[in-house]
Amino acid sequence: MELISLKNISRFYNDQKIKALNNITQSISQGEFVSIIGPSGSGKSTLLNIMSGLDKPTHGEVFFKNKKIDNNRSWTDIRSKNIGFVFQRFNLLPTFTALENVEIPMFGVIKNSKIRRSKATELLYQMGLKDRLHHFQSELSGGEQQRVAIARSLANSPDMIFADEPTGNLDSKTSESIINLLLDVHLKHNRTLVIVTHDKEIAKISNRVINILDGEIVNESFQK
Amino acid sequence: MKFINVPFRNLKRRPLRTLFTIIGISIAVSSVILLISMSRGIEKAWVNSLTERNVHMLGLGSETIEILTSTLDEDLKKEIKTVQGVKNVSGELVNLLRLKQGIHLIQRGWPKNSFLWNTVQLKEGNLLKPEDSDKVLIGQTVSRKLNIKTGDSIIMLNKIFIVDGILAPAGTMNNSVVIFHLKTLQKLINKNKKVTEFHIQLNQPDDLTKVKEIQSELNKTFPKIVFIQTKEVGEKNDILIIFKNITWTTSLISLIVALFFILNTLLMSVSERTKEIGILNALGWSRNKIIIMIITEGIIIVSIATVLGYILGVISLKWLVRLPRLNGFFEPEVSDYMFFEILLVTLFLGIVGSLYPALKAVSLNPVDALNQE
Repeated sequence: MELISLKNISRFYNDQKIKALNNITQSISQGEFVSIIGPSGSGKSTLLNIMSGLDKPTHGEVFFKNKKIDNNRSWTDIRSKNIGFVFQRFNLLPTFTALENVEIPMFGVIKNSKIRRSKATELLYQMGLKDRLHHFQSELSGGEQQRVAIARSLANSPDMIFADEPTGNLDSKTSESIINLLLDVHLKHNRTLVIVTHDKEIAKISNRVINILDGEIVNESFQK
Repeated sequence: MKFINVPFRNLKRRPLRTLFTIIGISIAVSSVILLISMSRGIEKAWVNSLTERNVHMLGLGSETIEILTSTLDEDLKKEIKTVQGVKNVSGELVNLLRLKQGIHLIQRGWPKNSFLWNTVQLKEGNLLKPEDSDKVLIGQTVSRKLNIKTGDSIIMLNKIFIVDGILAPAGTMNNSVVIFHLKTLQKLINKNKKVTEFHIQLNQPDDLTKVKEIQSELNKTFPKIVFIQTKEVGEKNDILIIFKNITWTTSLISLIVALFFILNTLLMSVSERTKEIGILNALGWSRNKIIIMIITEGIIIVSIATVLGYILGVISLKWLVRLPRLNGFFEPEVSDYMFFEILLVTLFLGIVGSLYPALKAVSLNPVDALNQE
């Protein structure tokens, strides 16, 4: 089943002088592991932002589960229940502990605060952060912060995880463990995984690689 | 973690800024409490001084702004008494006096046969006899401040008077009085045959329709006098109205200052948290949830500030009424009802003051917000 489909998507900036994306048609299906690769400024993150409704296309249409989505309210609902985010700079909320950061997306989805807490605890245990539950962002290493972010992305059991350069701020050893975690999430929980990356090693392990250059898909390859 | 913890945690992020905002709003709230309770207190003291004397209606010079400047012929009493429904009429001459000791008191002069004498309750001493032109009765506060008892003397306007009795504890204004025979006070302040006002008792004070009819009849018959019901005295006294207007204007200014405190604090807070608001948006928080979070921050600030301001206001008020020049002239009125009145106003201000920062927060482009450093 197609989760996200893009039809003739373009994204222009500065009165159409800058073309971040140009006439892209693409879809992501349930259970896929897709890597979006390309050099800096090629439009990878813009594509991810449009797929998640964080950004609006200048032209074209976006569908979620075959339903056209064109308003903020629907996108908010989809992001809340169906999409988990992992960012390059982790983006944890600094005034909240690791546990609270994982609880934050659950507000409005899970009403009971005890259930929220127990689910967040369980996710952090799964990420190997048993001893870091009550630590703030400033008390965690980069790898630990990204693990919290992955736990947070799974908070509402979403259909898909969008990861924008998840290893971009990490050393190679930590990067490997983070990728293994994401892969684990994809395989064990059958979550669709879309990763924006520069890292060709990550691309190698994905099912599909979308190569973007100057806002256009120049190549698309499928792997087993 | 409960949702309410989120705005609390946001406010704790800059504890000093939050504290100073709360202090600023508390001061504004306390000044509002102070001004309003003073204004209401003066009115209440005046109404009480009349109800304690069983007065149902008051007749004042129609063209006077301030009660003390009202001057009426005492002989009008006989004509007022002829109006149907009027049971008793008594003229009263009033004067405010500042003694050399710096104490303020209210001098009242009543005719020898006035019904007002029947309403007097004494703690000690005797009522004035018709021949007692050099004697006076004094209120509790006057007795306490001057430390005088029955039989002692008191000098007013260079004349010596003997205290013949001390009034039983009563309302604030009646505690600050010195009561004379009308002729004595008229002579003392050179207002021969004149009174300040007429106190009227009615046959059927509880029949409101009848009271209104009598009031209307009196106003028609005596165009130079304005007759007002006791409960209306605060609404019809120009000086009190001016004082109330000043009070409300000053209070309004204080509350507007409080509004800008909230606005400024939350605007700064929102602009500091641009990225975090972008993250919440990316995590699926709706516009409404983000708006509610920021408005709740405003509500938390004003709620704490209102409680502190109320306590500060009550303490200031207690200090204020002890000042020798104010003591005895108003009964500050602070009640739970007043607290809730103020809380309602500040909550409204909290919501209004946080609405713009909240709307600003949700109007941010999520991608731009996420890219903020």
